[in-house]
Amino acid sequence: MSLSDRLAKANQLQRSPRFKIAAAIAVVALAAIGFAVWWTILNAPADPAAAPPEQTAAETLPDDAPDDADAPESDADSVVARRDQRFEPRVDPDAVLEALGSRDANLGVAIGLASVVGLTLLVIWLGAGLTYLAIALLAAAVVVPLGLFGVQTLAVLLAGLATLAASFTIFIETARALLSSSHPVFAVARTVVSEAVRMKISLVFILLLMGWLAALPFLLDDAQPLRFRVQTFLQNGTAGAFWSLALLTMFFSVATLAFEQRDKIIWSTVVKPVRAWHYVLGKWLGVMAVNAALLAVAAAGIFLFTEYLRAQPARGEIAPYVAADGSGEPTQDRLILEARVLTARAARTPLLPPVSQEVVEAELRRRVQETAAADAGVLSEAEQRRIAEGLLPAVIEQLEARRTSIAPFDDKEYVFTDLLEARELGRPITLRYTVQAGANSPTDVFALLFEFVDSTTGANVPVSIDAPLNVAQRLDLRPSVISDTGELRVRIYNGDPTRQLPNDLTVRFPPDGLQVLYAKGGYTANFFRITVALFIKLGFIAAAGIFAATFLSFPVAALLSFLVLFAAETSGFLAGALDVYGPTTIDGELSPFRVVIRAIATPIAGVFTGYRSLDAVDRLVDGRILSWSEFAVAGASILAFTAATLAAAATIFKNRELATYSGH
Amino acid sequence: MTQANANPAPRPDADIVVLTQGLTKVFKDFWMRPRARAVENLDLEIRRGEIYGLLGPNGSGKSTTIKILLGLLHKTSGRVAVMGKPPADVAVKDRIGVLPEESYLYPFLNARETLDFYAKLFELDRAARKRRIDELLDMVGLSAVAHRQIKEYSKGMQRRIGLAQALINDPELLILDEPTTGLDPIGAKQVKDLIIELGRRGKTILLSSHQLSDVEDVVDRLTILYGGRKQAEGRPDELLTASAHTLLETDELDDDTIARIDELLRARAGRALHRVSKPRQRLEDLFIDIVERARATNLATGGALSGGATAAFLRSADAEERPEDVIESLTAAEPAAEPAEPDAAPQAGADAAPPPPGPRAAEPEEAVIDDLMAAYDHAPGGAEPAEAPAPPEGADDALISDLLAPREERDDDDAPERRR
Repeated sequence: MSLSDRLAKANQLQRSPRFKIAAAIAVVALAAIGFAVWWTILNAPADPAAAPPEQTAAETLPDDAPDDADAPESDADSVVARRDQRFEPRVDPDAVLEALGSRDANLGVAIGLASVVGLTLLVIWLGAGLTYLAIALLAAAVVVPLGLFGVQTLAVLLAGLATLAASFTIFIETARALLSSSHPVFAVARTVVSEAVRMKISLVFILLLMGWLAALPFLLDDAQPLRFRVQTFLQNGTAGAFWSLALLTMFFSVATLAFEQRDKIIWSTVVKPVRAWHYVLGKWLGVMAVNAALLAVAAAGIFLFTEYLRAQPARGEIAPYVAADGSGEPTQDRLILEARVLTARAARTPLLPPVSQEVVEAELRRRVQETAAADAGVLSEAEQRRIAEGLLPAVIEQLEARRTSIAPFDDKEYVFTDLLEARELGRPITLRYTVQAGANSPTDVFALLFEFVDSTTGANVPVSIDAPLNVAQRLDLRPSVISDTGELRVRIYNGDPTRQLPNDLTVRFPPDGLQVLYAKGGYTANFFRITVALFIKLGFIAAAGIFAATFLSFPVAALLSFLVLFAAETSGFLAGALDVYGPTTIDGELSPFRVVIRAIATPIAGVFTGYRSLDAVDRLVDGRILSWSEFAVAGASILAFTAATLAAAATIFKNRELATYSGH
Repeated sequence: MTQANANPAPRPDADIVVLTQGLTKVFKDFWMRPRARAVENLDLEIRRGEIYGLLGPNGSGKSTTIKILLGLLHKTSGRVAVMGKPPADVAVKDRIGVLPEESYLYPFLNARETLDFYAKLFELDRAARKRRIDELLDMVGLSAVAHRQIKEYSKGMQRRIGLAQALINDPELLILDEPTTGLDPIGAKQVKDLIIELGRRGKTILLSSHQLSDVEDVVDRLTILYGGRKQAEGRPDELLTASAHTLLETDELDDDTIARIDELLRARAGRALHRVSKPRQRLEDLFIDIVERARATNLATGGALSGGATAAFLRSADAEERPEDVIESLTAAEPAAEPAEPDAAPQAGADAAPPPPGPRAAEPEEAVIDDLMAAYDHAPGGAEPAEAPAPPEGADDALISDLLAPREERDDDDAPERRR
C-alpha cells in the first residue's frame, strides 16, 4: 500500500463516527485520571502552603518601596492590619485563604486541563484527531531535542508558537463548521473566515500576535519581584493582544468589503437573492468569528501563563507559597500579588461637597458689581456680565480643586460611603492615596497624619505617614474602620502634629487620588468578563470598518476607521482635557477657536462614554473589578452603537450603485 | 420585417420577462454634472422562452443596460422591469442567473467552495447543493481540478466556473455577457449548444457578445446598439438575409459547366454569376476534429477537460434526443418565408411590436431555381412542359439535370447547414 493510500485510509478512519466516539472517551478518561493523580499527590493535607494561615495579615506596603525597606511604624494597631497581629475573630479565615488565592492555583490547573481536553475533543469532532496527533508528535520531535541539547529558550518559544497556532486553526475550523448553514448570512460569514486565513493582510497580524504572545514570557526579568512580572505580563500581553486584534479588525473589516467592490466580486453576490442586511451582517459575523478564535487563543494563553507564573516562587520563598524564613506566612511579594493583582477589587472615592454653579455665578456677579460700583461709570452692565461669565469656569475649577486640597497646618475630613459590603466580606481594605504639592519634586517627602475612627471602640486612631510626592501609596486597613452604616471617615492633616512635623505647602489629591479598594470578586471571573468586554469593543470597531467601506475606497475607509478607533481609545483623555479646556482664554476672553474645538470634541467624548468605561486592560492589571452591572450597562451601550452602525451600513449599501467604485 | 408579423397579436404581460421603456442612463461626476449618456431612450422587450442578443461596439451601452437590469446601476429615467418587478427586488433575483463579462470570483476559494457559496445564497439544502455542484463541475469539465483555488485557474477555466455559478439555481432568466470569451472553440461550441438546449427548455436568455458568429447561430432576436441607442432590431434571418442575392451550393464543377450556368442565367433570368469559389472548412471544425482525435488517444492535459453532458437538473424534461434528430430538426423543410421587400428592412426603433419567436432556419431563395426547374421537369408523372426549349448544342444534360434536380432527391449531407 502506497503512502498516499495509507494517508487516505487514516483520513477516512479519523472521520468515522466510531473513531470519534472512542477517541473522545479515551481523552476524557485520561484527563480525569491525570487530574485525580495530580490532586492526590500535590494536594496532600501535610502541605503547609495549603493550610489556612490563622495569623496572616495585610501589611502597610508602598508600591515602589524596596523590599528591604522598613515598613513605617504606626500606633494604629487596631485599624492597620499588621503581619504579627491576629484578625478580629469575626473575620472568616476562609476569606483570608481565598484572598491569598491558594485555592485559585487548583482552579487554574483545572481550567488549563479543561481547555486542553476541550480543544482535543474539538479536534476529534472536526475529524482531524490523527492529523493533529501527527503534528504534535512532529513538533515534539523538533522541540524536545532542542530542549535536551540546551537550546531551551528556542524550544519553549517553538512549542508555544506551535500550541498557539494549532489552537487557532482548531478554533477557525470550528467557526467554519458552525457557519455551514445554508443561509446567506452564514454563507457570507464563512467566506470571510476563509478569506482571513488565506489572505496575506490578515495572516500578517495573526502571525504577529502569535509571535508576540509566545515571546513575551522571555521578556520578563527574573530578577524582578513576582508581582511585577505578573503585572508586566498582564499589561503587555492583554494590551498587545487587544491592539493587534483591533488593528487586524479595522483593516480586515474594511478590506473584505472594499476589495470586493473594487474587484467586482461583489457583483456575483448581489445579483443573487441576498438582502443588504444579510450581506453586511454576514461580513460582521465573519470578522467577529475570526476575532473570537484569536481572542480565545490569546486569552487562554495569557490566563494559563499567568497561572504558571503564579505557581512560581515569589521573592522570599523557597517554594510557591512557602516562605524562606519558615514563618508559614505569605511573603510581602506573595501578599501583594494575591491581594492586589490577581484579584478583583472595587473602588470607592470620597463623597465631596458639590459646587453649585448657580450659587457661584450669583456670588461672582455680586462681587463684580461691588467692584464696578466702587469704580462708578467704568463698567457697563453688559461688561460686568461678560467679565463674570468669563471668570466663572476658572472659579468653579478652583473651588472644586479646593475640596481635595489642604492648606499648611490645616486638616480636612473625607467620607467614603457604601462600604457595608466590604465590611461584611471581612477582607482587608486598602486606602490608596497620591499626594501632590508645589512642583512635585521627587526628592520631597511630606509628613501627614491620617486619623480613623475604630467602629468597635469609637476611638479616633491616628496613623502617621511619610508620603513621597506624586506617587501612589497604599495603606492596608482592617474592616473595623468601616462603621455600621458603611461609612469610612478619615481626617487628613497637612503635617503631623504628633511628630511636630509641619509642611509649608498646600497638599492636594488629584482626581482618583483618594480611593478605598476592597476585594469584591475572584480573578478568574473578572478575567472572563474583561475578555468578553474586549470582544464587544472589537465588535464596534468591526462595525465601524464595515460602515466606512460601504461608501469609501479602501485607503479612505481605513483612515476613517483608524480615526474612530483612536477617538474611542483616547476618549478618556479627551473627556478629562475638556474639563479644563474651557471656551474662554486665560484672560477671560471668549475664543471662537476653543468654542469650535469644544463643539467637535464634546460629542465625541460623549459618544464613547460607554466604550471608555470598559477600561479592561487597566482594570486587569490593577486588580480592579469589572462588575456584572458595569459590564452590562457599558456592554449594552456599545452593542447598541454597533447595531446602529451596521444598520446605517446596510442602508447605504442598499442604495449604492455597486457597479461604480471610487467614482469610476 | 415581414408583412405577416407587422401587426402581431398583443401578448399577455406575463410573457414579458424583461421590459425597458425609454430607459436612459446618464453618468455624472462628483459635482453631479452630466458626464456621459451611456443609454438613451432604449426600449427593449424580451419575451419568455426567447434567446435575445444584445450587440454593439465598445461603449454602446450593452453592459450598462445589463447592469441596470441587475440593479448594479440605477436608471436616470424611464422604466425597467424584470419579470414585472424592479431590478432590485430580491425575489426576482432568485430566478435569475448571471455570467458577467469577467469572472469575478473569490480567488481564495476553490471551485467546489465557490459553487457551494453561491448555492447557499439561494438557500439550497445540502443534498441539492452537492448534487448540483457535482453535475455542474462535470458539465464544465472542472471535476479534476475542483480543489484548486480560483486564482490558479486560467481565464477559460474561470469562465467555465463562472458559467456554472450562473446555472446553480436553474434560473428562468439567464443573462450572459460574453459567455465564450476565453474559451477554446470546443468550449465555445459547448456553451452554444447549452444555450440552445436551455432555450429549448423554455429558458429566457439575454446574450451579449462580440462574437457575432456565436450570437447569429443561437438567438431568436437581436438588437444592435450604438451610442446608447437602438439601431436595429429583429430576427437574424430578417436582418441578415441578402434578399437581392441567391447562393447555390453543388459538388465540384468544371469551368465549362460553370460557364454554361452563367450563360443560362443570363439567358433565362438576365443575371450573371458574381462569384464562383470553393467553400472552405471552418477553422472551428478543423480544430474540433484534431482535438477529438487527440482525446481519443488519451493524451494527458493539465487544463480543463472537455465538458461532459449537460447537468441533469438543467436538461429538458423530454430530452434524450438523438444527435441526428437534432440535425434533422434544424435542416428539415419548413414553410418558406415570404421574400422580404428590398425597402422593407427592419428600421431602428421600429414602432411595430416585435414578432414572436419564429423558426430559426432561414429559407433559401427558390424562386429562381423553381423557374429554372420548370423547363426541366423530370418528376415522375409530371406534365411535360408545354414547350421544352432545345438544349444548347453540346450541352451536357446530365450535369445540368443533376444541378437542377428537386431538392428532396438530394443526399442529406448536401443540405445547406442552418446552424452548427
